[in-house]
Amino acid sequence: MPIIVQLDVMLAKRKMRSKELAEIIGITEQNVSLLKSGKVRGVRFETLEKICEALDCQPGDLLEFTTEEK
Amino acid sequence: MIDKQITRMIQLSCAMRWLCWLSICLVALASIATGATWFFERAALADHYTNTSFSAENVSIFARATIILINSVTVIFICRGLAALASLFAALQQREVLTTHSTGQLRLAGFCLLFVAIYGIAARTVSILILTNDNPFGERELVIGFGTNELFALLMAGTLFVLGHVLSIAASIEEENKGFV
Repeated sequence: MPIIVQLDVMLAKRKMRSKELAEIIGITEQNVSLLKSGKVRGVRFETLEKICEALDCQPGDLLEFTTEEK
Repeated sequence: MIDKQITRMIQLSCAMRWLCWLSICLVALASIATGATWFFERAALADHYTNTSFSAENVSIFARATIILINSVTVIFICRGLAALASLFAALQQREVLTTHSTGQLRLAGFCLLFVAIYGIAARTVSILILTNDNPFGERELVIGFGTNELFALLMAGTLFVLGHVLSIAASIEEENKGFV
């Protein structure tokens, strides 16, 4: 997938655990894990807003676009 | 409150599922009995098609077999529709309220009943045509009947099919939404 979720990188930078983030933004730890691995169809703006607030970052810091090589 | 409603839904679904299977058995048994009667007792055909002028003694074995075959299609579709409803109630018992499987079963049941409602009109027309085929020229009948029974059957079956289709779309949207965090 050309969109890479950099949530694990941001969590590491902010020294925050997945469980902690899940509690702050009000979603399950399982969903945070799915989001980290990029195994989701999409992210709601509401969730993205909460993540940005919790990690004090921009959406661009969490998502990265890369061209796929065939 | 919701738990109570779900428990009620499960109980009702259980009863409805058994009712569907019972209906399938009854429809199948009644159809076999009717088919056998039509095949072996020519007078039974005359009793069923009361307003049709034909001599029961002249109805050939081929004509009787064809009429049974034509009507058996209706029975097959009724049974398939009921089986789909039984499967839907089984899914509801498993708390699968809005899934692609349960809504697909509702749509299938609607389709089967809609087919039966439309096919029933044509089947009667063709059956009467076959029965009166051996009549002299001018006495053969082509009857197309459409009354309130057929109208309501079409309305109910159509509504069930459309509802099933709408819920199928809703289930696929729900499925897609589950992929969003």
